[in-house]
Amino acid sequence: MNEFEKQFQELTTFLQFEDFTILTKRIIDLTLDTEDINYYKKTIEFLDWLDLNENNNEAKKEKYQEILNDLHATLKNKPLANKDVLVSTKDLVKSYGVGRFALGPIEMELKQGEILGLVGENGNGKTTLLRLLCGELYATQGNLKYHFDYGDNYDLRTQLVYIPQRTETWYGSMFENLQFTATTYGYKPEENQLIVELIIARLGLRKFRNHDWKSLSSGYKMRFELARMLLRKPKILLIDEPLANLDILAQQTVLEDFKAIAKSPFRPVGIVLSSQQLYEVEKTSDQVIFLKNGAQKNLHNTILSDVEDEKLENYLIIEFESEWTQKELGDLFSKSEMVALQFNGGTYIVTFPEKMSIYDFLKIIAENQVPLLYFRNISNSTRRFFVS
Amino acid sequence: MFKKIQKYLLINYPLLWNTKIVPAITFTILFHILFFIIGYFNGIIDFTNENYYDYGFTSGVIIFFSILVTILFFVLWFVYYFRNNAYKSFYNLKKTSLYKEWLIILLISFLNVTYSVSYITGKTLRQRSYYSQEETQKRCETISMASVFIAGAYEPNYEQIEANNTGQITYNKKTYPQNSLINKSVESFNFNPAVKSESKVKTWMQENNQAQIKKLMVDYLAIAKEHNLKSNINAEQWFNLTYNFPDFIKYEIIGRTSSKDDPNSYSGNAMVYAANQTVYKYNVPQNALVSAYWKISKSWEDPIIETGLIYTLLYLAITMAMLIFSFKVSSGRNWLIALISTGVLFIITGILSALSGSGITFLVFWLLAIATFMIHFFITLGKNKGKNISGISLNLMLWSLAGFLPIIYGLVMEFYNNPKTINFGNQIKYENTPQHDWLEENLMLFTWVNILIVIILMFFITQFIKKWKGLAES
Repeated sequence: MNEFEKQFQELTTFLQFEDFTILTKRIIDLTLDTEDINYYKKTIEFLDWLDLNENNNEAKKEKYQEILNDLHATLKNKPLANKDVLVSTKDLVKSYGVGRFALGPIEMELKQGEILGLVGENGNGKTTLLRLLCGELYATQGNLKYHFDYGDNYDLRTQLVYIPQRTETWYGSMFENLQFTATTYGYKPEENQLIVELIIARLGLRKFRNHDWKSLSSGYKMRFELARMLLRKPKILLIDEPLANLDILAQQTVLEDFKAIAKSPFRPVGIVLSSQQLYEVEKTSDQVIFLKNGAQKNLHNTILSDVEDEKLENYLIIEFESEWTQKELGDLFSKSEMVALQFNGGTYIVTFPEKMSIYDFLKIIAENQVPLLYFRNISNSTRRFFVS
Repeated sequence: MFKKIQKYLLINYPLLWNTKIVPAITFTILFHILFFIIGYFNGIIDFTNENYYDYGFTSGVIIFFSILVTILFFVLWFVYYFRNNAYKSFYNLKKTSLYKEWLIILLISFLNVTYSVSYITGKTLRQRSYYSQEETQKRCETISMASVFIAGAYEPNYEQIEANNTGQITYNKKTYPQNSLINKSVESFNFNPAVKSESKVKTWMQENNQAQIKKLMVDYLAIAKEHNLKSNINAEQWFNLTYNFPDFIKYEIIGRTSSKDDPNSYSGNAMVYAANQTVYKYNVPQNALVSAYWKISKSWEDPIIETGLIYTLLYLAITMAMLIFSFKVSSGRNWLIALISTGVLFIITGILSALSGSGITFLVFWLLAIATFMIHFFITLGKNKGKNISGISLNLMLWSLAGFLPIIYGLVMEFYNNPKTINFGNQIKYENTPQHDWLEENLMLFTWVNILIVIILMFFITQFIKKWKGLAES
């Protein structure tokens, strides 16, 4: 089963569980994949129909099934995109001068359809790395290589879309702005309006198409930036702190959107995003780079910058919240060869040797009836890099 | 309608949509028409107006209003034009896209600095519409010749009349007393050389060609009558009162106006001053005719639009286009720093020129400065590192591009400038090197060629600007 069939199967499950919101988005994705104006029209008609028949579940299901089948028939024979390497770096260093902040050396590789998460505390070089990758800064040392064809630097930068944390203001109508982008990128006049309509719907912006930039919340501003990005069909999307200022629900939606955009079977994009939201980013990313004082620490990778981390690699580390005091917990865990117990801003982080498993931990908790609000196994999370 | 056109352009020609070329050109054309109409109405001649100096709107007022309209236009246009910047957002642009954008800005700038041209055209065309060039010339000649028999100055053409120290004058080998009408000057019009009409009428007088003189007076009064201008004598009476062959010293002064307050009396103009402030018993409407026909003759004198004006406006348009374009392709910050740098450079060059006491210092300094901007910009581009301060160089290079070759031309001209005085008997003649003369003769041609070169150069420079944009910021 190829990537498309796998994803399609997922969509049928969405339909089965009547998860219409996400299904609609994915239908638009598939419509855009067809690159066929007739499908654009059909889907827009369908969206208009949906607006009027929101509560008619039976008819909706039927319509969804119909459109899904239709799309499947067209797309099943379409060749899938390759997962080529887009960009790789070797010993990449950006220094701001002697004695000042320096980023690197960074070693990474990003493929089509992959999401790379950049995490780290403020001022540790996340934005610098993003700006290096998008060509806004030049490296003082090392190698940065883009593995696709481009003419000059300008041409390269047209293929790398960077969305900074503070986006520039859009003037005039949002819809016109997007149409302008579409025309500049060679969309034919007859498909221009349709494609913009679809992309706006894809990102849940139909209601906001005539809004003023200033009246939009930062989350919606970012969505418009994403809409514009989709029209530009870049090779790599670099996005700085997309989750900042978003509520938890919106964070999850945006990450889900990134995933869908990156993993498109026909037009995959490489995404590099920076964030403070460790767990959310880890869930979505294929690889995570943790930056501490400009130095790189990888999670799922063998490239590690210091030996100490390798030692840490095999510990069982658990973050949890409990009403018990550090002393009570310490007494309890020390019976099980606890390595360390740290109290860290309301949560505890306990480290056990490798031979312990999460089930052993749960067993101790259950047996001693330790009140537990939540827990998380962070042995494989960059979260542990935040622990001093 | 605009909405529809803009919508069409938005999905077909994004650059034309972004530059708002259709509304912009419509706006400018409307104002050109308005300025033309104002000029046309201002070109209406009031034949009863005796004031020579009453031109209606002066050029100052028109220039003031045209600048006001230009500023208003640019403020409005910038609001819409700067809304989108595909280049700044790294959109996928074609190779010639920036060049086309510059040309559009140049066109819009040119249309915006030429409102006064429409005004002048309207005014001139209206004034020319009164009479054909031949007819105007004929009428001016009549008024010019008849002026010998009307109050006026004694300031003839001294190439033909020689005064001697006995208080007498000689015209065409004949001697006359100084107060003879032969010694009177004639009214001159722009394209009608006074010499010609003067010698014509004075020859008739000398030859006692009474028929021609009488006909002249009849013609003159016919013109006056055509414009409903009154005189209190007829041609016969006028002839009898003023014609006194052979010396022309016994004559009645014929007034230039029937009005008591001659608006031209205190003008300081020698000719009019001589016309006295008294009201003469007999008069013809000379002031009114001269005032009106002077305007008509002027309208026929020059081409409607002078080449000099056009190329001045072209250079102005290029400068404006560069200022706007450089703002669009660099950044407001770079643009402002470049502006301040220009001011500082001007102060430094001013001081240096004053100290050296030579204009060449100024030219040499600026030549070096412009060359530095260009070299810095291209070296930064070649290095392929960060832009750093090259955005400022880019601004300065663009602004001074049209001045680069003229400065070299000026310096070469100065290099060959070696005037010599040559004595030919009692006459002194100035001569310069042939190279200098050639450069001077071809100055106008060079001015045009330079504009062409700037337009061609921009084709290449815009492509480099696009490459430069791709450089890292710092």
